[in-house]
Amino acid sequence: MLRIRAVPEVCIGCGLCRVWCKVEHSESKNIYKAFKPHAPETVSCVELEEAGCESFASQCRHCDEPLCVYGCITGAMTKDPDTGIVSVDKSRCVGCWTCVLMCPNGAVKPDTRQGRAVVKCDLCRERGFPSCVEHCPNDALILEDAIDGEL
Amino acid sequence: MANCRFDYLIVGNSTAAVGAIEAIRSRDRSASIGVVAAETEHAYSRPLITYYMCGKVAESNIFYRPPDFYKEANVTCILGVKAESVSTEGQFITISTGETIEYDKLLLAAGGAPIAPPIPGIERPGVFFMNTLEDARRAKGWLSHMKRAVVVGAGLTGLKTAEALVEMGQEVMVVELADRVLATTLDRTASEIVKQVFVDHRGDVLTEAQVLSFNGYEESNDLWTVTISTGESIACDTAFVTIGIRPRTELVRDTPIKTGRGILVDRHMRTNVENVYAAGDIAEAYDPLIGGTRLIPILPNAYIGGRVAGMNMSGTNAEYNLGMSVNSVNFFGLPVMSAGFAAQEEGDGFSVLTKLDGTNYRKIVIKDGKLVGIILVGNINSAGLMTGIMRAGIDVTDLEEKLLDGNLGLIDLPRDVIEERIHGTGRNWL
Repeated sequence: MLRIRAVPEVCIGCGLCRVWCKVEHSESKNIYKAFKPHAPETVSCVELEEAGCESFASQCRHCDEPLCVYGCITGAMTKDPDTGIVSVDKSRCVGCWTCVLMCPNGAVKPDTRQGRAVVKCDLCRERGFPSCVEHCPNDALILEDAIDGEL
Repeated sequence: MANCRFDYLIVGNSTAAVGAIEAIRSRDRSASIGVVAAETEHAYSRPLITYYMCGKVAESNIFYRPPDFYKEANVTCILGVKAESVSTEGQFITISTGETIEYDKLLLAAGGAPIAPPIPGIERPGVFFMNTLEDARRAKGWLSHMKRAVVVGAGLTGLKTAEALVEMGQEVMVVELADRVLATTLDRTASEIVKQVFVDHRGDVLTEAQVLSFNGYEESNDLWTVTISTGESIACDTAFVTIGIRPRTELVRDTPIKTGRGILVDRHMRTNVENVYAAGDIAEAYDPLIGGTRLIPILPNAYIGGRVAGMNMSGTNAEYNLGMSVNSVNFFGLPVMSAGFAAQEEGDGFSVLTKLDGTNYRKIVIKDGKLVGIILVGNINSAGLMTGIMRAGIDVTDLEEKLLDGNLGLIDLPRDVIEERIHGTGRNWL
């Protein structure tokens, strides 16, 4: 089961994780196009947590006991039994946002673009490797495997 | 089919049943699982039936799990029959055909039945409940040539029904006995905002009123008007009775299984009788906020309760500690959330802080330094973190401002909690 692990000790709070998350989850997937003034707005699945000189990035932990999945009223939110990835099928989401209320980490966010549905970290399933991890300049985000340790 | 035996027998085929099946199958691939239910459909999402009625969700999208769910999980479905009684001594149930089914472990997850008050005329054509997919199908057909509806009861089901009716172009009046809508989950201020949203969408809401009778045409018997406690008669062609549900505890009548308002279960979802468990709307289960059992008929708790039951039934120890009340819903696009002692007023050791700005309303209820209730309308920022704080019992004395503003971050939580949240496996919730 893969998860992204934050390392607060070396996070410099640059926010590149947010930038690249937005790019990956934008329509164009292109950093120049994604941030143009008229590009469709993109919600970052990563939150940069900052207090004083301390910071870390936080996103979905793809919980072994995922409360967002258990709270989902439609069955749109599922945990893949093989990969462990928790993801939402937007075609079946009605935007009740029970998952948003259930996630104790605040890692499921309302999709403000559509007014319905939600966004959350999908470990960049389509891409193959999480973009935030790849682009973190200081190794403050690590992709780890619950069984095999750090990748 | 009948006169058979299952290792795990589940009465009911909705959310709690699915939670139990998934828990059992993640541990035990070979044991036999049987499901007995009165409804003939595969498990569907009950909260979606109003969405289905107004056409926002297609019938094919209402199912809670994929069509091959039962086959994949190797579950034998015995649908369209009612479980009539339980013999705890012989470890079998008797179904409506008169046949019996034996069990090793039994999960009672038959849910709740809509409360039908003794209002004259309630049986008339045109008067509906909104509890099953079949209810929604029948109402949908009926409504195709109707235009004025009355909804009796302004709970969650009543208001989602009313919203669906408005979206179908019906003229709608909601009649509620209490002094406000969503009286069990919202306080006065939040209720007023929700009510105003309905009024803005040309829905009528009448509080502190009761329907005294459903009156019909002499010839057809069809609904014509309702008489309400103000003395008025309201013309309507359709009515929905949505004043709540009651657990189907009649299933365990004449058994030693203890009931309160629902079937009483401990924190392992066990009844007082060996090998018999209960979960979902039928069960009266543990609420960590009150430190005792109560009815909380909501979907998340049904799934989690079913899961905890399934884990314990199949030999993995699990405790039900997530049973507090949580509600999230939107009306005409306005998000409305509440959790715990949401309607609580100041006093009795509870301190209440609120922030109101147009249709944005945030309320936090604190007791002994702990967050025990929230209401979020409009501005729902930090919602998940807040229920996480409630569940973990974190002291929020220094966080009140941030909770009220909704700019709380994970980083504001105590060190050990942050460590668990950013490095843990999320396994410890059960």
